[in-house]
Order: sequence, then C-alpha cells, then structure tokens
Amino acid sequence: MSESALLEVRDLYKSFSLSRKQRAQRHLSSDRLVAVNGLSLSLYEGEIYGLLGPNGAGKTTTLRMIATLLSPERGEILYRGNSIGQNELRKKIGFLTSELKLDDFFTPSYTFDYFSALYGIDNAERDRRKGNIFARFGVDRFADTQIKNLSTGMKQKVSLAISIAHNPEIIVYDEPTNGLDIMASRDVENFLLDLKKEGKAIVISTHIFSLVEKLCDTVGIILDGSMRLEGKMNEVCANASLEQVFFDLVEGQE
Amino acid sequence: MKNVFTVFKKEMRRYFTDRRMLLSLFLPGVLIFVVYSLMGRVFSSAFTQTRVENTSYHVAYTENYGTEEKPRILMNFDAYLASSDEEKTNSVEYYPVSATEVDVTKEKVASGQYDLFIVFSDNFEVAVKSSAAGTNTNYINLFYNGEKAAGTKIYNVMSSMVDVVYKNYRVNVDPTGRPITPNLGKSDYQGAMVLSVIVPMLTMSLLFSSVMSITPDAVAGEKERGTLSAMLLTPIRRGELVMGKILALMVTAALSGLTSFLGLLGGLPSLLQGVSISFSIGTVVLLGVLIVTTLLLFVTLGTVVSTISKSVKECSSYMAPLMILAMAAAFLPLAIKSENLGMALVPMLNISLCMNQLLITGSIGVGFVALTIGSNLVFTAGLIFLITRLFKVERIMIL
Repeated sequence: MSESALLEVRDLYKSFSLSRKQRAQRHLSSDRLVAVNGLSLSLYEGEIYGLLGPNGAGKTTTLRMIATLLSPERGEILYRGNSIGQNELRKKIGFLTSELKLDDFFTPSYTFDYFSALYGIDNAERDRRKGNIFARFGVDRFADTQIKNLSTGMKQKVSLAISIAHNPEIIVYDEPTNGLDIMASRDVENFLLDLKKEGKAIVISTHIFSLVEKLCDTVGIILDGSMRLEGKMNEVCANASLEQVFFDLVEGQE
Repeated sequence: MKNVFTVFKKEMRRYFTDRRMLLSLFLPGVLIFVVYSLMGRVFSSAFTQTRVENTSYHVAYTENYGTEEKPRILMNFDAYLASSDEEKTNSVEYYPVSATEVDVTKEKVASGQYDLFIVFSDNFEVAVKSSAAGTNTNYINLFYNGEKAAGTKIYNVMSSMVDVVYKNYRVNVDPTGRPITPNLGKSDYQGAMVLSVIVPMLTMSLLFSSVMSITPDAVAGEKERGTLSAMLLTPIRRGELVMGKILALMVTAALSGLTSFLGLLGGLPSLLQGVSISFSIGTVVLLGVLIVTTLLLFVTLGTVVSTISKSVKECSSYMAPLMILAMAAAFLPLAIKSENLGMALVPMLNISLCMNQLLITGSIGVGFVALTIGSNLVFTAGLIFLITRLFKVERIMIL
C-alpha cells in the first residue's frame, strides 16, 4: 500500500429536493433532504475500503458522487492529490451498482465491445482484455448469448467484466453481492481480492458485516450522511465484532 | 464524431434485435394499407360533392346525335339546374361543335375554355329513341377538365345522369370499345382536394406514430431498465450521446414511416377511386423535404418528452396530447387558407399549410416554404440543445 491516497474525497455535501408527497411520507418540514453532509474518505492503491450504514445513510449517494454520476454541491474529489475533470476521472473509475443494468438484447461480447469503444480502447487491446476477463469469470462460454438468457449470477459476472473493461484504477461497487447466491458471491469476493492484488483502490458498500470483515482493510460507518467512525479493520474491531461496533453506534445515536 | 457513430450503431442494433419493437415499427404499414383503403372510400365519396357557386358552365357537344331537339342529357341537365338549390346561382352555356372538331374542342377543354365536352357516336339519340340499346357502335363520351372545380362538378353530375338516361349504352369508350381517359386536365381537382386534406393528416399521423413507437424507449425506457446510467458513467460527452440517439431514432422512424408510406401508396387507388393525380418532380422533392423536416421535429420533440419521463408509460401518456395537436395542425388548413408568413413560424401547422397548398395548386410561395423549413430546423436545433442540457440534469437523468 502506498502512502499517498489514489483518490481523496473531501467534505462532500449533497442534498435533494423533496416533493410535498415525499415530505409527508418522511414527516419532514424542510423541502430538502441532506443525503451526504461533510463526508471525507481516502482510497489507497491495493486497499479495499468498506462503507457501512443503514438504508438512507448516504452510502449510495457517496459512491455515485465518487463515480461522477452525481455532482457534489460542496467538497471535492482529488485524484493523486489533483482535481481533474469529470471525464478524466470517469476513465479511471469502474462503477457497479445493482440499479445499473446491461441491455438484455445484447450479448456480453457486444456489450464489452460497445463500452470499450466509448472508453476509447483500441480493438486489439479490447480483444485481449475481453479474452482474459471473460475467461476469468467463465463468461466466455456465454459470450454470444443474449444477456436476457443468462442466469442472475452470470449477469452479475458480465456486469463486473464490463465495469473493468477500461482497466480502471479505482473500483466503486455498491452492494456487489446483492441478490447473488453463495457460489456467485464467493466468485465476486475472489474477484475483489484479485483486483486488490493488482493494486486497484476499491470501495464497496454493503450490509453484510462478514463480507467487510473478510475483505476490507479499512471500514467507514456512515449515519445520516456523515462519517461517524472510520479506521483500519483491526483497530475498529480490536475490542468487539464489527456488527457490535455498528449497532453500538446506531443505538448510541438514537 | 466517432462516439456519435458508436452510439448510433448500438441504438440501431437495439431496435433491430427486439422483435416486439420491430413489430411495432413495421406492423402499422400493413395495417395502414388495410385501414386507409377502407377509409379512402368514405373520404372520396364525401369529396365527390364538390361545391360550385356563381358559375356559368361551358358545355360543348357534337352535333352528330341525329335529332332536331337538344340531346336528352342536356335537357335533363337544364331541368336539374332549374330545380337544384345547390345550383341556383349557376347557369349553363352550350356550344354545339361539328364531329370533325373533336380534337380541337378537347384542346379547349384542356385549356379550360370548356368545362365539359360531350361526344356522341353518329345518330346516338336516334338509336336511343329506337331503343337500339347496347350495340357496339353507340356510345357517349364525356371529357372534362379535372383541374377546375366546375369541370369536376359538372362531370360528376352528367356522369350520374348518363347512367340513368342512357342506361345500357356504353360510356367513355373509343370507337373500338377501349376505355378513354375523360379528364383532360393535367391533374385532378377532386383528387387534389382529397389529397390536400388526407396527405397532411396521414403524414402527421404516420410520422408521429413511428416516432411514438420508438422514442419512449430511447431514453425513458433506458432509464426505467437502468441501462442509461452505465452510459452516463463513460467519458463520452452528453451531446455525443444525444446526437447518436437522435440519429438512430430518425433513421428508424424514417424506415417505419417509409413502410407506412408504402402501405398508404398501396391504399391510394381506392383512396382516389380511380381519379388520376400527377405531380411535378419539384413538388415531390419539396414534399420530401417537408416530410424530413417534420420527422426531425417529431423525433426531437419525442426525445424531449422521453428525456423528462421516468418510464415508457409516463412518456406515452405525455405523447398522446402531442399527437392530438399534430392531428389538429393537419386539419387546420381546411379553416385557414393563408400564406401569411407568420403562420410559417408555427411548427406543425406550417407544414400542413405547405402541403395543403402544394397539393391543391402545385405551387407555393418561396418565402413561405423557406420560412417553414428554416423555422422547423431552428426548432429542431433548439430541441437538440434542450435535450443535451436535460441530459446534464441529475434530477431528470438519475432515478
């Protein structure tokens, strides 16, 4: 692990306007909901960062801002200490979320080619990467099958393959094992460990404590859009399990 | 530009690998052929009642019919003129001509000097009086100028009378028994009237239907399925993504529109009930340009609606009122006969007015048509700019 952060997130702030109906549902008087409030974190090469928090804590919004899908209202995201343009940052990030889907009518092979073209990867490099990645996930056997005809686990593997088509340095996965069976989950875990070995900086959000304990080097717990606890896994779990630490924090807040 | 082409190819592949979408794109063409063929009969019969007022009909006829008194058909027409409320402001003048002057007289019909020219076979009335029905030598031909409302009107009336008065005698045949073309005008007033109303309406509905079958899926569908975000994460510029999508939409909508147009062409014979229509190449080219600008406008308009919608269902519900507006614009030229330049700035209405004018008269003011095309292109460019801006609005693009 190198000393300087590959990606530094500083003091991010994001709020969303609420409709009258949404205000009534949430019993709020304000017409804006603060999703992320002054959040900072750093990602290092060869490190997996686990983001924990209850539903609505701001995990997904944070990851979407890191992936450039959303723009922060305040704060900044630095790559190797520098502020770079959104499009440049996009080339360096691979993002995956359960809400992000691939077109069912295309084959994995065509989808890989399409996204590679959008990232400006030449055909020779694309074919080389496609061969390696598809073989790694066992997608090669289904490369020319329409995605709609693949199993859920295989679809997830295709999504993972596409997310790294452009060989990103930073991997941002929002609940990467959500909805997967234990076999497919294990494949995803192994894949993340492989990426870590390759020196990628990885951030994942999840509700599964065991996954964080097993994979992550650093953990951050978000409550109400703010980072409430952050530290190395061994430090955070020095005196209690991660689950215990998490619930102590949540109940302490209530 | 490379990214625009990449997106374009992907979108085209998407449209042509989805069987349901293919069906919704090309089935209308088949249905149009069936439905409009039936519809054409209704419209056409409505337009045979051409209204003519304050007119003097000029009717020439050959003198070789063989009796002293006027031919029976003319006496019937006089009686009709005297008794019909519809014709009370109209009168008739007859011009007997020698049977040797048929060709000269036909030229006069073609030039508009005469509205109708009746050609009898020799001693036709004698044959009718002696009840020598249906022999090969007895016939009556009616020539008219279909470019003129009066010519069309009197031809329709006289044709009906001939069917009654000279029942069992041959009508509109040459001496060898072959059918002749009765309309000596270059085009057909009745057909033009039918087309001037039907064509803008069908053009609007065909193009809008084509656009409606694909634009809801183009952005709203992608948002709904979660496939759009993946593209928004790539370094491609939003403008390139929009252009790629719009180009693919245009080509697909054009193909769908073409299929529908072919269906319409198939239905045209029954739509016009045998009435002939001819256009100059210039008119056809101008119509083509107007159709392309209409398509551009509809595709971009549909894409705006698709962009602001969260789902295909929501988009379709927003598109329905727009379709009604387009239909209204197609019918308005019936009420507005104007080449006021201000009208050329009103999208959809301007195209309908242009088409209406072109189909009736075969020409239109250069200023009006230039302003129509120009304003539609400006609207299209404005809408593309708007879509590009909308693609950057998180609240709209990220569900």
